[in-house]
Amino acid sequence: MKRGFSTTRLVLRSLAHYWRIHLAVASATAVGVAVLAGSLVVGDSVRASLRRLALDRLGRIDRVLTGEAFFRQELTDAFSRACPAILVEGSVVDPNTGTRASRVNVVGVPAAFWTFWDAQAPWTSAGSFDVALNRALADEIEVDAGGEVLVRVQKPSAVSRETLLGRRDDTVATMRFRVARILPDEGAGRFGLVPTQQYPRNVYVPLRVLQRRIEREGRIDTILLPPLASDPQEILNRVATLEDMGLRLTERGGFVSLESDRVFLRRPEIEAAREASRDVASSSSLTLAYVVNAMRAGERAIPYSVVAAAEDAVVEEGHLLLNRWAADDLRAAAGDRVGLTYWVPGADDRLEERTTTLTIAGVLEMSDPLVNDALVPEFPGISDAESLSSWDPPFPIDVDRIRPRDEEYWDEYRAAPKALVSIQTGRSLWANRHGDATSARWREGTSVDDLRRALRARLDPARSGLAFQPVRDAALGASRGASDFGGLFVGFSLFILVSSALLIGILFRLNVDSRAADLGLLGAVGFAPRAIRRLMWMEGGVVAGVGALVGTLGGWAFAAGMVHGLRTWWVGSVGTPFVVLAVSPVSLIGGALGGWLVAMFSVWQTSRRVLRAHPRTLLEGGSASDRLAPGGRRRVAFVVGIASLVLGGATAVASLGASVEKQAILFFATGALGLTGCLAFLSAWLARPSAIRADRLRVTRLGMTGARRRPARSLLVAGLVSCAAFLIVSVGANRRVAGSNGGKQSGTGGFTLLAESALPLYAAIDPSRLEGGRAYRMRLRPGDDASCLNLYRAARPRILGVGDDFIDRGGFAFSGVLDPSPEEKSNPWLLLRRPLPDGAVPAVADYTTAVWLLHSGLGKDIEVDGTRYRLVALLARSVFQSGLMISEENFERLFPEAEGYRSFAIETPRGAGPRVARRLESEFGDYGFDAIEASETLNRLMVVENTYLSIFQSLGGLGLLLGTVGLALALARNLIERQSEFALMRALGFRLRTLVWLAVSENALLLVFGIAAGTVWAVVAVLPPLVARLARPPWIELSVEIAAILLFGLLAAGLCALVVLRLPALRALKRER
Amino acid sequence: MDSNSVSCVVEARGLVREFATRGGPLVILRDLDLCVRQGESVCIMGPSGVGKSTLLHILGTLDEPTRGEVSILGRNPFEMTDGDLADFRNTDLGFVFQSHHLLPQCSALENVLVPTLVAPGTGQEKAERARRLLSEVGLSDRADYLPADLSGGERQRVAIARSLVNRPRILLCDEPTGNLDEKTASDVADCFVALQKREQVSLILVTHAPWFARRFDRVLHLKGGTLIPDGKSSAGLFPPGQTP
Repeated sequence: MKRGFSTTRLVLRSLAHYWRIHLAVASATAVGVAVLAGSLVVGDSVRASLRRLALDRLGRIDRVLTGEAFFRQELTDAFSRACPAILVEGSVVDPNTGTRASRVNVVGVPAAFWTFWDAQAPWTSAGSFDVALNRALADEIEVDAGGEVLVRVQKPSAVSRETLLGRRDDTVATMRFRVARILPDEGAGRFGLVPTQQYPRNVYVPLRVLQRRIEREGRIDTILLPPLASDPQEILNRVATLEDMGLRLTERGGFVSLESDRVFLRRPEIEAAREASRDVASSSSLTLAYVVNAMRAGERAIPYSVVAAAEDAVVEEGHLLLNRWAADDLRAAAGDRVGLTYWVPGADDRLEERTTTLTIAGVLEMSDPLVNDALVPEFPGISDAESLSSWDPPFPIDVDRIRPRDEEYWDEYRAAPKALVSIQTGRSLWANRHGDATSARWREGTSVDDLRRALRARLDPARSGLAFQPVRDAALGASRGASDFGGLFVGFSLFILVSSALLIGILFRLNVDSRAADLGLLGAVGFAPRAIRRLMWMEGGVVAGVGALVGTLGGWAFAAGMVHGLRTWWVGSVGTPFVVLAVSPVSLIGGALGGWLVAMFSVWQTSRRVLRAHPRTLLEGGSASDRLAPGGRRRVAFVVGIASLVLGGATAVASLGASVEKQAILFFATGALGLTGCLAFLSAWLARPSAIRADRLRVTRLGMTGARRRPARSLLVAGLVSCAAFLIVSVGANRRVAGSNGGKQSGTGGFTLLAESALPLYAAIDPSRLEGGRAYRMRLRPGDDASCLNLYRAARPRILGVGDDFIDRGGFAFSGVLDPSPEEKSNPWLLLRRPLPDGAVPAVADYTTAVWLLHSGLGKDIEVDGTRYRLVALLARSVFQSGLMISEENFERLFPEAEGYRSFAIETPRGAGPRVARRLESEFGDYGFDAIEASETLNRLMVVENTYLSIFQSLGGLGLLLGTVGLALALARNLIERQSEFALMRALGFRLRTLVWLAVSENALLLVFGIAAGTVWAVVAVLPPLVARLARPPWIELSVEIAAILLFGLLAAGLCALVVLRLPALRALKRER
Repeated sequence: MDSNSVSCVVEARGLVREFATRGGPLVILRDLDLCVRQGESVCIMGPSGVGKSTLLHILGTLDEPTRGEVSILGRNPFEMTDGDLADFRNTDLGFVFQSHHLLPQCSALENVLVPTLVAPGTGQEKAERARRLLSEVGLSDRADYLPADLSGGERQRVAIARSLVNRPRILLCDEPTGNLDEKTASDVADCFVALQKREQVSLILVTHAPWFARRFDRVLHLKGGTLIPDGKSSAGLFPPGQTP
């Protein structure tokens, strides 16, 4: 011996000598590390792929300037290398086949757009009628390059179509184009501002052509910007004009007026006008002008007049001032009553005619400054009419009522108001969610330039709807993902990790058992238990370290396999095969370290138990567990078993009426208690002394009692198998399929169809089209898809505004409701109407969306664009997973610019769904109306969940494989220990197959017990929530899986026994101990 | 323990050892008394299964008595902490087993050195002592051999050398020649006796071989759970001068 002998050298000697068993321990460690590191790498890969995708679809676009209304294209020139664009939703149709794609992104761009991806424009000239489709869209409508398409978009309107002056007819522009090129679904072909891994459907149209067709020449709604050296917001603040914000200053009729393209001024604009007045030392007056159908006094009436509510009109509420012309025509005087009849937009997009009667307070002469056309802003179809009878307003008029006198008035005074009321009276009659003033006026002489400057200084373009979005930063933020995929896969692989740890424990225990005499010797010569444990840890540490290193490579392979799975057979969980492998050294090292620690924990546990035995027992090759357990300990195990089973049953019953969140906890509690109880009973049985009556001695029974030889080992194996069976059965039982027609309390809420349109619908759907069904309209604020179909983090989830009819209808199952009153308890939707004291907006969301994707919960707030939404109720597994739902009233207040209805939930008679869907799609095809069966929507969402369950099951199966390996190794070890015993039996005439059956029956007991315990308690744990959901587990598939597990385990045990027992008997009989 | 026990390096009083079995407790040792002096060699004989190894394991602190008192070098080992007991075994006791229990992965020299891994002293000193002991048992040229390459007798001699490497005061041997043929056993026995005298250790050895027993100062028979002096030996149950 050249070097000194040390404990290190002893450890190295032991490592070399017992290399076979160490190899097995290292292999088990390698598996655990591979799984852990691989799972973390999968998470890295998903994140990296989402990031790559996000950057790919944006190219070099860093920020985007969007406006609620169209603005000057010249604004683009203020930003270096910026690109103007029009981005709207529309539909695309193959005119030859009628195949249609709805909710398509219509991208109107110039040639400069393609430079963001260093690509070339697919069209030859800016005015050409060539377009490009991306592959996803081309495939959907089955069109190739050279074909033709019809593109339909909504004609923009600055005036809200939900006001009297908003035009509701001729709202769709249809354009015919030739498909010049099909772009691949990457780079520019994947362009989109909304983070999603799903393929967008894009049609790229020359900007100039689109501008012309939607009557917005020189106007755009988007500017795409690359990274800029200077702050674009500062540039915008410098160059944006009032016109860009949809405002104009006019000088006429002795006034300087601030008017809006939207007709109505918004609150910030009114406030800016007030403040600007101070700067120019000239007070402003607000005016609300309105068109009335008739002014009636007694039997006399004047048709189609303008009435103005003016701040500077000296008139009390409930009174009005007539101008001289009107007073003379009506032959009315102060004190007389005048009825004003006018249209207001009502429910279902119908105009309602209302009449208000006011008292004449006085008569203004025609020379009065307020009898002035300047009080009335430009009303489209009215202000520019040559005569009264040539008015073309967006509401019906009867030209037969127009008298020559009325035409004379128009010729001389144009739209000068025939009556004036106070601003308060006007607001009470005609104010709406879009505003309560049509102009702010300053008297003549006020410097227009000064006023312009003052207004501009006070108007923030962002508050006027002209705002920058940092799309690149937002995309990168969203690509961190709504769910931690790494953590998800670690969870999926948890059972493999646990199996690996248990297997390491089994193998290490086998190693220690085989060297019990050596350990006893060390104790006998004076090694303290602590010192012996240290030696074991050193050995275990080196073995686990080697395993961890190998496992790191395995982790790479595991991750590659998982990524391949996510691109192929598990693609349902991510939507598209976009995931590519991205290996991070940090994850590999983290996984290696974690796996090594898990292995060392097993080593520590095993060494702790083994060294409890007396040195004498160890010297004789036994272990602590070989001794008969005292009767007291068996009784304790029995009591623990009973108590656990009873408690497990109680938790199962408790989960029947529990919320979804509590059900998850109770599920695990039931499983843990049930399995603990079963294993406690097994422990008590294993500890009982073997006693077979002579007359009942059979080979099988003899084999079964063999499990008592190493009770701890047997318990470990049975535990492993029962956990595997529990996992596989409970996961399999949870696979979900939506019923074809769920009831009102189901995930579909009793609705047959769900529909969305690319363009808003204003009119109600005619009930006769629904075959006796009913449609519930919902307003939509587009945003990020917050369902499990979108892997990106939803920073701005979609928001639906549901009407009173939907709220009163009720329906759906709720997993949680916030402090409901008795009425709200029976219909939680009513909570949407409850005003919250701190100003938060009550909202309803699906549980999955709220908890897992938005990382919130019942009673918590979600902030979106500065507004706090409080989750007052959570839906249980519903079709509304994509965002938040609020009341229509709150929606209109928060999003006045979001017009019409784009989302629909439709009830139909049984079996009528497909017919009604086809009918509605045909009727509203121009609006890109798409209807889908509600159960299909639920199924699509369940596909994701079911795919996750598949992954879980597959990995669980792998864990079970490890468990079976453990079983086989334990059996092999048992047989090797008892080789002389079996050799003796063979010498006594026992056949080989009898001995194999003897060996197998010992393990069959553990296998059957483990599978039975795991299966029974999986069913007990899963049944209550399934009953609550009225779901039926797939019994046949589960039975086949269980049978396969049992068969596989028995075959593995049989094969192992056959191999070991074939070893020469004589050698075993002669072997020195 | 009374004043007479001062000279007993190993003393047992009223030792009882029972084992729990299905049919009730099995009494192996029954009120057993024993005293061994410093430097004395005592042989305990008896047929197979009478409890000789059990007694030796108790005296070697590898097993605990059911009842009774044990004193080794004036201390009760069963009242020591784990650490003290380990040190005690390491430095004050030496044990030779019937089955040598050599570590199969270590050479003969390394096996001798195993107890020194947790003992004080320099590596040089330990290595020299180990080599010397191996030389004394006639295996200096087998120092680097693995146990698999040694004969049964050679393995047992390595075990003997191992038991003495830390200079214990008491040496316990459980049928050290039980697995050996007569010639080898005789060689090993000679080795034992020589080493015991040279190292001045108190030796308690268990055997069923009468020819081995003749080389000891005292021979005791284990019968019915108690020790009976050998009729042919002049020595009694207790050393001369000791009273029960």
